[in-house]
Amino acid sequence: MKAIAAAVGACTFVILLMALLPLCAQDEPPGAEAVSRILALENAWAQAAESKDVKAMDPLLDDAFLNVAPDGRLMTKAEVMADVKSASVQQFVNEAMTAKLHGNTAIVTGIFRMKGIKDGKPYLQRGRFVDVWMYKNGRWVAISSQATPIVY
Amino acid sequence: MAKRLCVVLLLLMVPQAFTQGAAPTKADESRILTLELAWNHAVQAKDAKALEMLIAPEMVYIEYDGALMNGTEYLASVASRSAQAEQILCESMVVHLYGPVGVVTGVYRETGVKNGKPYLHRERFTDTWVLRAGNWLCVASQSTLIAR
Repeated sequence: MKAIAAAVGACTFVILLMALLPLCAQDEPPGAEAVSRILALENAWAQAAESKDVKAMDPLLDDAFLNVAPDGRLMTKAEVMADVKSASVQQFVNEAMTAKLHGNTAIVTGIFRMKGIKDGKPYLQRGRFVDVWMYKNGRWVAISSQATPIVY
Repeated sequence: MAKRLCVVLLLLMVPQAFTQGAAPTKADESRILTLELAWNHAVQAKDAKALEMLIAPEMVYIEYDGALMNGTEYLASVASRSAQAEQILCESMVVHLYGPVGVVTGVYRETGVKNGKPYLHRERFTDTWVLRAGNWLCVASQSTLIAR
């Protein structure tokens, strides 16, 4: 009887622990740590774009992720990934990034600088971006992104 | 014992549901689309006071030329616009709701007169709305020029 009670007790503990883990995971925002983490994810994203590493990029983007490219094209996650694979980007760097938290959502603004070769010609593009991140299932994922060329 | 376990699990699930926010509804979607239309009317009328009610004080705004503005700067820019918009329309607007956050994508089309010359702008935009104290407020807005 004691063994059964102990087993039930152990099971209860495990179930409670499993139920509490998502609650703990939902706890991250707000705070400076969250901002640092998001900015680090931004840099990881830029690095993945530069090295055409779609496997590294995949967990950073929500499945429903939407992107507005510098030329105004509206793209889904799958389209962005395909674009990254086929692009000839040599350098992708983020500058002047700031993140503002709004509950479980963060708005990141910054400037991207992209160098590469297109149609056999080198190009340099500089644009302003806004990325929207959301804390979902214990991690930050980008839900939308837009880039606008700086021409002023 | 099994009953007690069920109750404990249910109690544990309730706060989780709250932290994730109430499920988005069609009414939220309509509300946000209405606010987008109100925004267009306010821009056309250069009505910064009306606009102020739609945006969060910490809003970031990125103009189609890449200029970055905060909420105060954006309101001032609308009030002092030299261009006179004759028609502002939004096309293909879609609201993507994530609980208390709404991301709107669409195409903004503005015709008007600036420095005596007619103009037409077509821009792809993304607006991010946050539900705060029962009101949807825009926290980020960005436009990128697209072909006419």
